[in-house]
Amino acid sequence: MATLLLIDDSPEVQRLFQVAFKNKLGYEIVIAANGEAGIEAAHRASFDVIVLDVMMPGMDGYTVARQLRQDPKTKDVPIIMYTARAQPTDKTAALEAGADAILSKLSTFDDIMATIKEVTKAKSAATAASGQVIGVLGCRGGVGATTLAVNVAASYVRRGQRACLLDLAPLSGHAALVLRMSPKPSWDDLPGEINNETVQPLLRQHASGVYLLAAPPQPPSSEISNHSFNRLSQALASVFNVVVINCSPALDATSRTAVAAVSRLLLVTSPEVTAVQAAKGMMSYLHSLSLPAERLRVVVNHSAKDMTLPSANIVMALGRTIDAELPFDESQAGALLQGMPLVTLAKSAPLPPYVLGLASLLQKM
Amino acid sequence: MTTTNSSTAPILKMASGDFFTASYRMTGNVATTASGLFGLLNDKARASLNLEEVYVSYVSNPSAIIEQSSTAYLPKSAVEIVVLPKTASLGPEALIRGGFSRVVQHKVLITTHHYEVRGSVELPGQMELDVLLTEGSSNFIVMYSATANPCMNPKATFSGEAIIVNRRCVDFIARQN
Repeated sequence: MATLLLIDDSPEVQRLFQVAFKNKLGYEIVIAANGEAGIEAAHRASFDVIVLDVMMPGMDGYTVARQLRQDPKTKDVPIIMYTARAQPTDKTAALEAGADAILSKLSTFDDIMATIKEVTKAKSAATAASGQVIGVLGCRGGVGATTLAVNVAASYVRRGQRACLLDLAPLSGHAALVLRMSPKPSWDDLPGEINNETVQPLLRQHASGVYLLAAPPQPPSSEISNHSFNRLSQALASVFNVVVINCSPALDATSRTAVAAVSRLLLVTSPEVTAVQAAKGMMSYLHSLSLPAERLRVVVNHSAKDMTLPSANIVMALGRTIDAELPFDESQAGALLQGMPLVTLAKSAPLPPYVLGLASLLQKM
Repeated sequence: MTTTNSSTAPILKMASGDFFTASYRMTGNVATTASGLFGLLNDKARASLNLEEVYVSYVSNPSAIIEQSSTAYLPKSAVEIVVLPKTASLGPEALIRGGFSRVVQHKVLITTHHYEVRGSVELPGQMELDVLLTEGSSNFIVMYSATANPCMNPKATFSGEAIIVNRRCVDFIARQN
């Protein structure tokens, strides 16, 4: 039996759902008359769908949706905003807050049913997708995070998997430049409706086999909203075995959303004092974002030749173990010149076995 | 929703809509009589609207709710436009059309002090648009299948089957093809 949580203060709406969904269609319905009660109910039990009013006394529907999306237990439950405020600007706000769809209170019962079916089906399809989403985040620019992201994606291709690289760091690294590809089209060209069909034309396949969704060459016209990012991530994960996201070290809103959504996050630093300090600060910030510690992996990347800070000092400074240490590889410069990932170009070079091992470790976790 | 308190009480119908002043968007319900919201707005015996379950936003950020109240009084003179999702809340057609049974629709752009409204107005026959401003005693006029954009926030669009415009706030009317 499908379970539905209705968060709405209107007795008429409560009655409608009781009669239409519970009595006629056999849904199991839980009703909460305000936002606080709704959040509590959503956390206490699991639901197939949440129908949420916007205009309620106390906490409004946008705030409720945002809180539900931050709770690991409810972040994936489909949310439908059911509201008298259904102007285009309200729809944008609802989607930004994390809703999957918005319905006017003037909608017919058939419209409500169709929307519930559509969002639950889309969510099930996304959940069923096997693609793993891995984030790569430099503690600051210049530690080789983008190059590592490119090589991690290429490692999966070498293992016979379909891998996609989503570049969210337009100003700090730029994966398209590392791969010597055109940064057009980019995710700045994403249409309003994001699904497999609309994302596909924006992907370009590199000679290494990695698919790239590039970052725009200039500062984007706008950031990707939470809702759009989730749709994009779901669309990519449904067709690729692995999606590697190159996050911006500036941790703009899109990268923060990505960091919260990935199953594994590689925090990349270098063996020198300022980079380790930056990594420590970044770890503290990630902790404040409630990123579960088990998702985080710290990688020390010898991106330049003369970096000599001992590992023991880094461990002491960070207060945790290092998960991987990547050696400096002189052939990296040649790979960059040719626009090829080193793991594809020079399999016998020092670095590729480490990156392949790291990629393997991430999938075993 | 229709309620009757006694045999002599007027029939009450709740009309829901977005009421826009110069700076604020108020979403709420208002109880109307048989003459509908149009009749209520043009009722010269009442200077204000009694809104219920009101949610208030700035026009500059129209989706963010900054205040809510179970009751609010809104002077009609402060209302520039009212966006109605459905024409059913307007009231009887005969009242809106001023008694004319044959009307012609004209596509127009009407600008008020703070909004641009595009839609259709209904006029008896092929009359000139200036009758909208000069004829009759109604303070408010109706535009059908209309959209409104605030001048201060033109990217925001509000649309409805009807938008009621305060005639006193109109800056100009232009015919559109």
